[in-house]
Formats: sequence, structure tokens, C-alpha cells
Amino acid sequence: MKKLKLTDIAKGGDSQLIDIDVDELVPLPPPYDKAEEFPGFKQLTEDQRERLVCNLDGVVSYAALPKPKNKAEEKKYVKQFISGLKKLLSKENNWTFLQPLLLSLDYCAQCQTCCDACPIYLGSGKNDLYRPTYRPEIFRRLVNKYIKPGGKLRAKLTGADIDLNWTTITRLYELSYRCNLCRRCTQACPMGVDNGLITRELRKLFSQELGWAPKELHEKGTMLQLDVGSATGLRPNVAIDNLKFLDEEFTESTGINVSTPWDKKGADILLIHSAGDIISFPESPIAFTILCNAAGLSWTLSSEIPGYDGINYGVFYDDVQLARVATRHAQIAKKLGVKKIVMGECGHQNKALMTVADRMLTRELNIPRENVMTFLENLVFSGKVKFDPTKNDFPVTLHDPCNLVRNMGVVEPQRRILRYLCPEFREMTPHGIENYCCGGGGGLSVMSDVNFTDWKVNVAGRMKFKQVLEAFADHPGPEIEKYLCAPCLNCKLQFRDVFEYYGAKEKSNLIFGGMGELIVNAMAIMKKPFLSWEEE
Amino acid sequence: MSGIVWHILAFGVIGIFLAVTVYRTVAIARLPVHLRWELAPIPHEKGKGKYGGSYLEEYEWWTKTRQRSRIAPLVYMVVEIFLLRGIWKRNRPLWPLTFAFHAGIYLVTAMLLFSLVSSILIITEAPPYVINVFQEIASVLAVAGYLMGGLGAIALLFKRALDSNLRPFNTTTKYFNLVLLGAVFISGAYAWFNLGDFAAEMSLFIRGLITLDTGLTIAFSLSLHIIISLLFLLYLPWTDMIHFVAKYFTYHEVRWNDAPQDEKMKRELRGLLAQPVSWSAAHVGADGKKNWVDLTKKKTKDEEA
Amino acid sequence: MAQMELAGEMYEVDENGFMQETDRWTEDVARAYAALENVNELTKDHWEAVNYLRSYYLENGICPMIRRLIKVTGFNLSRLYELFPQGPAQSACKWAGVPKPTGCV
Ligand code: SF4
Ligand code: SF4
Repeated sequence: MKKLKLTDIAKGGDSQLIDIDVDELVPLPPPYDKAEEFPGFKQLTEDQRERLVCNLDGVVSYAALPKPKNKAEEKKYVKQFISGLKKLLSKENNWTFLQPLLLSLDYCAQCQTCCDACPIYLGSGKNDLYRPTYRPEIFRRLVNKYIKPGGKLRAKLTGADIDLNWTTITRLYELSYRCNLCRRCTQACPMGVDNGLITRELRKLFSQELGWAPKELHEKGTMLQLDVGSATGLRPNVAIDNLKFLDEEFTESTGINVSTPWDKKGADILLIHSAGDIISFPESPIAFTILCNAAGLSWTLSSEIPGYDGINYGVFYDDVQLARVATRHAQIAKKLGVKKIVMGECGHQNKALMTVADRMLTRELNIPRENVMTFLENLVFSGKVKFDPTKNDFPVTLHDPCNLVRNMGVVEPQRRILRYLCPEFREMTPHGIENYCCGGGGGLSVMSDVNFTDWKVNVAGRMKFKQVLEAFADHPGPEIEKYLCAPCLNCKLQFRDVFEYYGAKEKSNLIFGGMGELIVNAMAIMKKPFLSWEEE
Repeated sequence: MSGIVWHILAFGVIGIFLAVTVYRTVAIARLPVHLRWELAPIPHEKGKGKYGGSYLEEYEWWTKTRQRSRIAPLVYMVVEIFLLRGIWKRNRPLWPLTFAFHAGIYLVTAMLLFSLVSSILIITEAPPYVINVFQEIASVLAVAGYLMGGLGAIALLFKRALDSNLRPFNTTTKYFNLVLLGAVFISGAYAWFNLGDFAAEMSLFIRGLITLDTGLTIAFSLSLHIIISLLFLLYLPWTDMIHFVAKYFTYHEVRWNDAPQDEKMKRELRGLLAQPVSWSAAHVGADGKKNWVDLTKKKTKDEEA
Repeated sequence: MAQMELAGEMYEVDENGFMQETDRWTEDVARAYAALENVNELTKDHWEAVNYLRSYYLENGICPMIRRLIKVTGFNLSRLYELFPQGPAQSACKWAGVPKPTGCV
């Protein structure tokens, strides 16, 4: 594999920095070990190479990245980048993360301990480009050289000299979306340096200063969400209509009266699902409806923009958008007069509203918020719903969404549920706060421009897929139905892509889904299984 | 060299070292409160810290009083600082080298403390056998510290230069830091072997310093060591080697800072949110006057209009 | 923005080949897309799904949930995959000339 130097980032103009060779990636267990059986990477066409900025690794995540027409335009972007750097280091513009940023910039000992913690680096077969330290060290040297007094001279003298040019900037942009922000590297760092945070700051610089951010996160993400109500484009009336439809469908298929309440003023609980769950994994919101009703809770959904889409992609790339979405969610809860907000099964959503945005929600907007796993645990053990765990007599393993587990410390509630309701529950190795990210973290799971999906399923999701398979090593084949419990929409989207790419359903009879579905499946009154391994 | 020069050098360097270190510490401490960005495991979570759980696991956590352990974070930090738990767990091959290196620093620091005590004992004319005990201990600490530190520094230098994992990230600064600290240890070891009684000489030197004795003289090998050490001390606080300070903040103020808003924080937050924003991207809608609250309130749609 | 020739006309498409100018769609466009995926004849069943997708999108600004598509057309998922090689989201939506579904779907 090609060895990379830090200074390489600035060299070579529009040429690609590295090539990804599928044979160098970490091997998967059989029957997934033959790379040639899978489609591999979609190569960019001549036309795409002409039109798009593709100077990193042959993968493009953002087709709309501008391509300057002349040197003057290149210079303009470079200047903007420097002004963005300055703002990142200023209290007014970046008080939100200034202290952690400065600490992470100034105190890295370059021991490389964090590298072996990174699932992307490991999955890639230890490709230098994906080291957790590669991107931050370049960023650090640019700050030292271009922002600190005497930096240019010092850079020359100490051999830390990286040129800031068009190539550097665009490669850094693309590289900032080769990280899951999972912070496994941070956990491994003895200094407490946070390479995940640096990556996020870099994304912020690009978004907040240059207006560069992946279409799925920004234009079709937070912008669309704030505008029509959901990043899926789901409008309030369509959301209600869809759930009505689902209520009817499931009332019919389960024989239980399924009815989802909307906009009930004075309810105790405002439940905010992801709109993506409503559309793509409707069993999840329906499971919540069944459970909340069975437990006799006073609860409601909201159809106010964006109260039926709990995602907050700001947490991945932009503090202003983060604040906007979180504030709207809180305002809706306040208007309804609920006692608490519960977010649906989605890690980043829980983290965004519960912890990251906590210090942006001032005064009466700081409404109590509960994480979804604790909420479900309380419901399961409340005694109000009867269960028959033998209904879940298939092997189950648990994926720990990084945002919920490593980043929020919500570890045991979901395990207590599984130990009670799933007799064949088994842990992955490693698990809990040391889990591997699904590979879709940091917003990557919703990004699919150009050939980005190929990278997600081959590189980012590789370590996770491997450990999922290993957790079921006792039943590798398709004879036994197996369930991967992934209580997070973003993780589910990533698993959907990965399972489809590798044919995990056909080869291993392996399906994935949330926690709510497993709980409902074990309910004593259910006449038919709620979960199904068969396609409809 | 006359005694007075030693006084100026030593006190000057220590003064600068302290001033810069304190300045940098205060500068970090005074940075504004940031958004929450905690990371498991958080040892102060009573009963949960072991597996990485937090108070957010509690049903309706806001109705309960937080159970915080004072001891667990301390124990965690002590093990991290003195035994380098993180490296042990995640980077075992590096551990012996960096452990020797850091142990060298701790042992030499301890030696200085013992020498300081013994010099005070000399001044206060304590019984010689008491002084002796302290000097004996200081002597053992010194030789152990210098040897371990010196070996550690040399090993780390080789590791940096040869390990293909580390090499791409090396700068002359990183080498220089190791060479300088290595020189401190090696000159110390040289003085220890060169002098009949290193610890006694050391306490005499310190006594000379604190009694402002202008007649202070020391052997060449020790003065070489002291000069290199002072140079190092002068250089240290300007570098990333003061990570011993930063580490307090990365752990306590970032990873383990899971505090909900309290009155003091609320006041500070109000001020922070009232600051003007000047990010340039169109969607931010900043004009250098609107503050965080204004920008958050505003609907993105209106901005376009 | 990428361009693509479909049935003799140039259209703006995204990098995955989805049409960006939904109102310029014609039945020939659908046929041309299908041909690219080696489906050389569009049957009544194809049209039923494509037309439903399209009209639902034009009315609601979003593609229908798969469940709805299944309910309304009466085709189960494997039938849909028979009709549309890459499935309802990747093929059927594309042939119907609506933008690629994005945003956690
Ligand atoms: S981030 Fe931490 S673990 Fe990684 S190289 Fe820097 S100091 Fe070492
Ligand atoms: S945050 Fe996660 S994905 Fe990103 S560098 Fe660190 S370990 Fe790797």
C-alpha cells in the first residue's frame, strides 16, 4: 500500500491521492471473503472526472463541490478557508467548541495510539489516508502556519510545512467526510485529544464559511427540514396521512387496534420519530404506538414543522443549523405543554437534543428530555404490558449506536431489555462503549452521491459487518433466522446498504431492525409474529 | 561561576516557568463554556462509571439527585498519570519506552523534592542521620530516574526515527524535545556517576540557592546538568509538553463535563449567545451584528426573502 | 450538473442518473431508462407502478412509502424487483422521472 506523507495532501493538483484496492481491505469471514463476488467500487466515468472534483481516493461524496475556472478563483477559496480558520478560533463565532478544539490542536503527542481504535482505518487495511491523525495533523499544521504569528517561518524551520492551496482544501473537504465522528479514537487517546471533533470543526468551517456541505445533510437535510418539515421532504399532512395508512395496515395485520395520536395538547410525552423511520422502517413507529398505547401512556406526536422529524444533522456539520433544529423541537414541545420529550430510535437525534444542544436551550426551552432506551426499559418493566420471551427464540445481537452509547453513556437499559426478552441474546466483541461504529456515523449513512455508497459498504462499514458475522459464528448459514438489533435509524440505513451489498439476508438469513419491534414481537397478546424474515 | 549568577539563573528560570505555565493554564481555564461533548467512560458516575454508563440512563433523571463519586476520577487520573493506563491498554509496544521516560521524570521530580527537604534539614541543622536518610533516598531516586529517563528518551528517539507508523508525523520540534529531555537525564546520570555523593551535592546546591549564599560553588558535572535542566525548564512551558496541565482539562472539562445548566452557567450562556456572528456562508445569514439567538430564531425561509 | 441523453433529448440528471427536471418527463423517457437497465418493453404492470409513483410524487412532493406502493398496485416486493431490476427506489422512481429519494429514506 502506498505510504502517504502529510505534505502529499497539497501536491499533485487534480490527480488522485490514493487508489483503494479492495484486496487490501481487512478480510471478511466466509462466505463474504471473495471480493470478486461483489460489485466493488464504481469507477468514475471520464465525464465525471472532467466535471467533478475527485482528487482524493476515487470516491466523491459531493458532486456540487465547485471547480474553479481560474487561479484567481482558487485563491478566493483559499482566502475564504483562512478566514474560516480564524473564525473557528474566535470566541464569538465558535464559543460552542473553542475549548475542546484548542486543547485538541495543541496537545497531540503524535503517539498514533488512536489509530488502531478507528474502524475506518482498520477496515481499510490500515490505509494512511484514513488514519484518525492524518486529517487533524494537517489541519493543525495549517493553523500553526497560517494563523499563529511567525507561523510561516516556524513551519519552514521545523519541517512541518504544508502548503495551503486549492488541492489541499478540496482534499480536506472530501476527507472530512471519511470519518464517522464516532470518537472511538478519542476514547483511546491518552491526552484526551479529540480527532473526531477536529473533523467536525473542519466540516463546520466548510459549511459555515464556504457553504460547502453534502447535499443530503444540508440542502436536502437541515434546510429542507426547517423549510417543509422533514429532510425526507415529508410535509405535515403527508406525515399524518402516512401514519393513518400505517395504523390501518397494522390494525389489520396484527388484530390489535393501532391508533397513533397527533398534536394532543397537554399530553405527558411528546414522541419525536425520524421521518425516515415512518417512510422506510414503519414497523418502528408502529411498534412505539402499540407499546405506548398498551402501557396506557399519555403521549402524542406533533405535526408541526419539524416536530415529526427528530433528526438534527447540524450535529454532524454545522452549529447554527444544530441550534435552529434543536430550538424548533423544543419550541414545539413547549407549545404542546408536554412534561418531557422522548426521541425515537435514533442515536444522533437523542444526542443532539439531550446533550449537545443542551446549552443552547435556555430558560423555558430546556424541557426535560429522556433517551429512548431508558423510556423503553421503563415501559417493558412497568408490568403494564405482558410478555412471552419464548416468542423471541432466535439469535439476537445488539449494535451500540455510538451517539447513544459512547457519547451519552446509555449502555445498560437496552441490555436489560434484551436479557429479559431475548433468550438467545449475545454480545458482539467489542461492545458497549467500545463498540465499532456501523460505518454510517457522522451523517455518512444518508449520503449517497456519486459512488459514495461503495465506500460506505466496503470501507466504513467493514469492521462492523465483520463483527456482526462473528457474533453469529455459531450459525453462519441461512438455516437459522437471526436478528441484528440496531436501535438507530442511521445505523439501520447503513446496515441496509451493507446487507444488500453483501447479500446477508440470502447468505446468512440475517435481518436487522430496531428495539421496539423486538419488544412488540414478544408481547403476549400478539397472535402473529411482528417480525418477519420474509419479504412481503 | 559565582553564586549570584546561579541565583539569577535558577530563580529567573523557575519564575518564567511558573509564570508561563500559570498563564497558559489560566488561558485554557478561562475559555468559554462549550457545548456538551462528553465521552464515556465517565468515572464520576457512581455505580455506572465502570461500564461507562451515565446519569442519563436513569428514568426521568431530572427528578433525581446526581450520584457523583469524588474518589473514582482521582483514582482514574492517578493510574493514567503514573502508570499510563491509556498506552498500556491501547498501545502496548510503546508502553515500556514511554513508561521508562515518564517514570524518569517522576523520579527526578521526587528526587528534587527529597533534596529540597534535605537542604532544609541542613539549614535547620537537623541530626545528620535524618539528613542522611533523605539523601540516600534522593540518591536512589536520582540514579533510577536518570537511567530510566535517559533510556526512555533514547528508545523513544529511535522509535520515532524508525517506526513507519510514527515517522510521517515527526517534526524537528518533536526530535528536539526528546533530545533536550534526554540530555537532561544523561547529564544527570553523568553527574551522578562522576560525583562521589550526588545527593549531598544537590542538597548543598539547593541550600545555597535558598539561603542566597553568594559563595555557592558546584562541581562541573553537576553544573552542566543544572544548566541543561534550567534550559529545559525555560523551554518547557512554551511547548506541547505541558500536556500535564492540558490533560486536566481534556478530561475534566471535556470528556467528563456532563453538567446540566446551573445558574452560573446560565448567566455565562446568555452572554455567549448574545455575541455577534460573522460566518460568511449564505445560509447562516450572519451580518456581523446578529447574534446567536437572532440567527437561531430566524426562519431560513425569511432570510432568503 | 450532469447531462444525459434519453430518447434523443438532453436532460439534467444527478450523478446517479435521476432526472432533475421532473416536468420534462415523457413516457419515452421512462422507456429509455428501462432500456438502460435491459428492460426493453414496458408492460401494463410497469406503467401502473410508474404512473402511480409519479402522480403521488407530483401531489405530495415525496415518493410513496413502499407499503403504499405495494397496497395500491397489488405487487409484492419480489414482483416489484422483477419489474424494476434495481427495485422501487433505484429503478421505478428513476423511470418515473422523480428525483432520487434522499434524507434518511
Ligand atoms: S490524538 Fe492522542 S492518541 Fe492520537 S496521536 Fe495524538 S496524542 Fe496520540
Ligand atoms: S471519529 Fe471514529 S471514524 Fe473518525 S477518526 Fe475517530 S475513530 Fe475513526
